[in-house]
Amino acid sequence: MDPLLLEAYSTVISAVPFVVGAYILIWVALAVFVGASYIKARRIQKELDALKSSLEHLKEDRSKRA
Amino acid sequence: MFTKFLALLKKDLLLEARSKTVLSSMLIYALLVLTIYGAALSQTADNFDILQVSSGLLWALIVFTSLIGLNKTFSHEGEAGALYALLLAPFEKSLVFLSKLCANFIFLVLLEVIVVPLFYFFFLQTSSLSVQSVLLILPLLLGNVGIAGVGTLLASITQRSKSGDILLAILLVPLIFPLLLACVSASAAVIIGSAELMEGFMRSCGIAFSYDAIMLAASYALYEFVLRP
Amino acid sequence: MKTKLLSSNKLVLAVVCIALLLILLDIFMAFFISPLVRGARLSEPVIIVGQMVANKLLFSQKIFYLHVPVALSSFIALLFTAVFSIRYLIKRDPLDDMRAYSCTEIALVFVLATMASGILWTRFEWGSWWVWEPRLTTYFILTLMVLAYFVLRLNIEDADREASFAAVFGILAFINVPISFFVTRIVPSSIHPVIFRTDSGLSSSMLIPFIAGMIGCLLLSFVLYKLRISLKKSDFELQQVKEEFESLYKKRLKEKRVVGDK
Repeated sequence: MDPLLLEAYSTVISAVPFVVGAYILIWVALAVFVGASYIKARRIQKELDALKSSLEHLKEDRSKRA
Repeated sequence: MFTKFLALLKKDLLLEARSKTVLSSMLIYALLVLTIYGAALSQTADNFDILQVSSGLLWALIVFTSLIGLNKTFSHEGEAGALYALLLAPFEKSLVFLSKLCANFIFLVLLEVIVVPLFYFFFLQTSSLSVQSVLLILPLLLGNVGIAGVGTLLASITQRSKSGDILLAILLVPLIFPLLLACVSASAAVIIGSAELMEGFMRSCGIAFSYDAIMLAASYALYEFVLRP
Repeated sequence: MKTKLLSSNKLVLAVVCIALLLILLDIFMAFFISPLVRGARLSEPVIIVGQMVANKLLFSQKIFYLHVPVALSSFIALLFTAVFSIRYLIKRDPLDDMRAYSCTEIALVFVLATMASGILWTRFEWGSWWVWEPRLTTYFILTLMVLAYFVLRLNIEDADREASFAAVFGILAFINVPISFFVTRIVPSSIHPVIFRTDSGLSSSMLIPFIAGMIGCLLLSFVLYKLRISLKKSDFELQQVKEEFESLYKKRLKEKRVVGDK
């Protein structure tokens, strides 16, 4: 390859891992955030559903007794 | 209103004059930090130019010691319900802020009156200080105002929390960082004293002054939301 | 829950798609269409694809196409934290407190992403992983302040005080951001001269992906904000249902005891 072209592009190859790494890290941070939120949301929803059904159960019981 | 402010200030200063806990703690702590500096710098070569780092070391010392002092000036308010009494009294909340700020500022100034010559005694005797070193007073005062201002507000917030002491440090240091940069720059300019640096001196002091003005105004405005039973 | 959340709000789903598309457009254009930025001068000019090129061509600048939009989004997230904090202090609406909290969470994610990409960029540009240069220093302070916000929130027991104190700190932190930004660049340094980067105007092939990425990141942060705040709202609902359940259960226990006595 023409030595001048080599010089012009000399920094490119060494730069690639850093650039790619930077982009990947940004996406990883976002993915971790969304993942953690999703897991927490599912847990809250499960607890909410369980509590709500128990609440209904209790209310039915009381209305039956009354 | 001014008399009320003076009364509050007098109360804080009198309390300190009698118990001397705050100043003595700050002084002892500063002395200990200087001792640690001695160990830290023990391996430097003879021709080590300590003037370059002295400004930074001095300001690090001041910030660490101020954390001790800020925590202590509020701790005795929590005891015996003194804070509740203060809130019930017919004082405007902003006066409480100003009086506490002044008390903290005075404590810092008193500390530096002793500690800065001590720092010179331990570390700067072999270097040639420039003539303008006396101007060091200006960045010291500006820095004290900023640290006291933001620190008083944050100490009111953290004083009643579980991990009050370390929480104050976590909150204060990032907020105070720009002020620190400006003060270290100004102090270094004054200690080293070359001509180009002196132009930078006025600029750094200007930056420190603007920081103080902005942050003090913000702290003053926000204080009423912080002082509640 | 996420699918339930998103499908119940078609607007949010649409916004997510647009945001991701824009960011992908940004990345695609950044790597394939935008010209490489010029670096140090070459010993002799060379002709590439019919054009005279006199400088080295830099690939590392490509980081800027996603790094800067992410950084600016974190800054805007903090702006909204301050806005909601001020609203909370004035109106005392707990919803505003939840909003401020969510905005700060978004700011945290974006700030950490900025720091990560910033460190990699620094490593390539300066040769070491960390340099106390204005950009990194400002963002480091920002990271510390956002982390301090969370430490503060988790350490105050009383919920009412927690909200007020967090609001006060949020406002102070936001005020400190432009201060840090300027001070790190303007402070005269006796030893290290600060190198001011003069940004020459961006050509359209560089501007378009940047703006696409910018809008994409803002929309993405909005969506993430909605996600977090719906999480908080359902948590709040959970607490209320718990309380209702407990009070009803206690009543039932009392009734049982009364009946038992009889």
